[in-house]
Amino acid sequence: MSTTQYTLIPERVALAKMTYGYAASDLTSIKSSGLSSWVNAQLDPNLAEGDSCAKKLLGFKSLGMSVKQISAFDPFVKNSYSAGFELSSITVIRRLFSERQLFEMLVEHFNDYLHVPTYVAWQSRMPYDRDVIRANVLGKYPDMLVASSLHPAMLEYLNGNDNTKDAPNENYGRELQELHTLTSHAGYLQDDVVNAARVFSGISWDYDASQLVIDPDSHWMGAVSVFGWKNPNDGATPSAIRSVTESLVRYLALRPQTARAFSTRLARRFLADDPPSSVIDLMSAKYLQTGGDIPSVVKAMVAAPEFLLSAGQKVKRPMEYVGSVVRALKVELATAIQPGDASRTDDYFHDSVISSLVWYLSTQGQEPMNWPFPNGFPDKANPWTNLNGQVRRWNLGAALAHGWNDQDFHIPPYDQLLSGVTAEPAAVVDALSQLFLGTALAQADRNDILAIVSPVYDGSSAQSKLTQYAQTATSLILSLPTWNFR
Amino acid sequence: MTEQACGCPDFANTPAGLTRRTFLNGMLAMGAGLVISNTTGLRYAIAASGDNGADVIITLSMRGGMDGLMAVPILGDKNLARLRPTASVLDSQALILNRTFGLHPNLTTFKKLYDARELAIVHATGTPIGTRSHFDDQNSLELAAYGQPGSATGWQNRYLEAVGTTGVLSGIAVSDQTPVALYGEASTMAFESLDDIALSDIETDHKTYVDTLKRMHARSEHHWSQTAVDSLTASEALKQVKSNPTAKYPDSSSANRFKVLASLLKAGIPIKTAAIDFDGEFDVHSNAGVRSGSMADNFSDLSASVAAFKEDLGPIWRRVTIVTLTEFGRRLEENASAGVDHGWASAMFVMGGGVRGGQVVTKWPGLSESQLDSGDLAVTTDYRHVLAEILKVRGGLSSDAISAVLPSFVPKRLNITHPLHIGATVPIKRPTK
Repeated sequence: MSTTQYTLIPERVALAKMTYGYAASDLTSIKSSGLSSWVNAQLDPNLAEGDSCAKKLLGFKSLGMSVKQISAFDPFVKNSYSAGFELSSITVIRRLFSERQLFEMLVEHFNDYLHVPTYVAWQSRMPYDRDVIRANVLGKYPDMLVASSLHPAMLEYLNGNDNTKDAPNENYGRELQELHTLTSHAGYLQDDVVNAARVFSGISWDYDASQLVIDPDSHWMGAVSVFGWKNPNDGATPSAIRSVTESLVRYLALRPQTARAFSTRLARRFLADDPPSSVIDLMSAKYLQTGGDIPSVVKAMVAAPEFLLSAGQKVKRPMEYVGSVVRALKVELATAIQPGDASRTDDYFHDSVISSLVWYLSTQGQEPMNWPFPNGFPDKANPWTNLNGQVRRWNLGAALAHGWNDQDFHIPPYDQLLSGVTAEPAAVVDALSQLFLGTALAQADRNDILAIVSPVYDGSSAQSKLTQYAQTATSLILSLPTWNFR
Repeated sequence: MTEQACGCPDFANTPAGLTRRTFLNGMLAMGAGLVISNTTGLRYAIAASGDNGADVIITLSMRGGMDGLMAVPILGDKNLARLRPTASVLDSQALILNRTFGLHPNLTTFKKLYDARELAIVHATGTPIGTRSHFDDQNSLELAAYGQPGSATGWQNRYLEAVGTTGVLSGIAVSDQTPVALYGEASTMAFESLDDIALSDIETDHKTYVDTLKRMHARSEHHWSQTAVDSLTASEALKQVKSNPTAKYPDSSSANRFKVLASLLKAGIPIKTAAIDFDGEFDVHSNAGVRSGSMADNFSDLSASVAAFKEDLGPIWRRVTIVTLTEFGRRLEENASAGVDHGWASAMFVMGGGVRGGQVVTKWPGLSESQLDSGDLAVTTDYRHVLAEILKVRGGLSSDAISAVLPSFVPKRLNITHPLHIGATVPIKRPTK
């Protein structure tokens, strides 16, 4: 069995890994700046999302709302699903259209790391994304973890609201260690879980007042120890209790086991399902040296020689497939996004364009933030490698390539995308291969694609010859195995 | 637009993915009809029961930690009543199974099946190592390769390998994602709905399009590509399967999954093993809702879904064995928020026409403090004993094959199944071509 050879230039390798997708202009930009400057620019807190993205976000009212405001916003009160759907929509728009591509990928990663599904906490999930994840993704992981530990969304999801001294609820105490910091390999014990639960007992979100309540009367008082951390835990004031929780979270966040778990998971996101331990060592060291500074660890990862050597080792998840097609073809939304309509409380946010994008991701099992378990969406290839995902993916690629769903998406004319290319099958196929892959097609793939593309033009369509060749060829190139890896 | 290539490794051959022993020429020569095989000469023509007359083995996973004491309470137990003041079934409301055990009142279908001797319960069962972690325990339960570090194949996939089946629809997950139990060398398919899984046409005849996509993927050895070849074969074969329920299913996502599986089996797709995730809230750290609420609703849905599935299957029911799985049961003592935290042993339900039902099989460990394992019901029957018996008796595996599917494990017979009578019950449905 022969193996098809596709070799990408380093800039394409880097962009495929660190963006949801890229167009020729992104390549030009990374080529002129160089890899490390490009990463620095992407991680600059002052980088703007860009006009195209900002304009699309204008209609979303919950973006700047507090938990209290969302809790009182009539359309969401009447139909709480709308709140989660609005966040899913905002998220998809940012991933597809923001110029802060690496930032958005990291936001997704940490939303998976400290996962809360949107349907669990409609009042607070949008603020969680904004105030816990986005506010800290260019800062230190311990700060993000502290913010998440007392946030109403996490208190709701992992049962902090139900955790009292008489019978501590262990859910958060366990996942804090298993998923958010040490991982189970570290060897913490059931006592550590119970003690962590005790530390957080008596802390809950008061939905009526929309505020955090730290109730010394329901807090378990007395000495606690968790995985080597000890605290007398004897202060009966809200601020004393709060500082004990923060001390525990920061302790766990800065363990070497956490550094390793954090680095493994991050490297799995960007390099390979089973990333090389040399990179993990280097990232862990950087993590500990910088007190868990996320951008520093990301930069260390990208600077490692293994980064560019891991070309094509990740299967694109559904979101990344959609993003890569949309961004490479410069797909635009066919209509301006309709703002929510407060008079339609049962169907507040009804924009069909965004609905179809969110729906598409949902049929492939990746509706933003709606994985049903606390560990976040799977990040290895196996779960995503199946009939459901593959056939739907090929069909979506063909639909976008042809503009079949033109009520939702606008594809720039191929005459513009391929300007200067002769309207002959081979010329069109070769140009598209350069556009998507930056390299020539393997001979066998080229022959197969040309065999289908060549007879396409029969003179009966109003579309140009070039457009017809390009639609068919694009559909086929998008289903090549190579295009489905990053 | 031309760019200089670097010395980066090739996209297609660097991934350290799985490869599969497939016979591509056979796949490409595929015809229409019910012959769904990727090896020429090996043809499946028997409805539902597959090629060797064995049962279709169906797993029903209740992810999140389904508590066995909520589903199958021990009657008149002071410890249970004392430690679960709210998160338990009252003795007066339980459906009585025998002098010792009852059933949750909403599991009415299970009671009927139990009385008809088509449902057996194994209690105080679970994984050999209880970590109380959802993710570690689900993973190791599905790998079922304890003491084999680095093992990356699931037990249902190894079952397919042991059977030697090469049909691309032999192993099915009615799901958006492939579950760990199906990971491995044998071809398996995952899809949650029969809608929108057919390849839409482009500007060529359908067969040319399908064959071209197959060829493009057959050139790469990556698991993604090899699965893609099989996905195409399967997608074509599934076109003839229509959703045609002849029973009224409840309106739930779990019921829809059963409905899809029933349609496949009724259409004669030669499935050997299938995986369904029951979509319920089992991780009840607060407000377990055993008497009314979360758990009560889960059990209503479960009961109604299984009832509809059985009715829909008709005579095929006699050739399926369903086994429920969960990563762990829950703590004996409920917490202050009327919920229950992670525990260890739970109960398993085994049902189907070939099940020696009407019995609760257990080596009951007891619920007094000294009998518990860190506060949890202790595991006295490794869940692999249940799987091993099903695979051997209803799946027709030899003892050697069992040890390949469940390595480093010595199974013992629980006597929860009737011997398989090959070809005895289901009329053979011939392919149309």
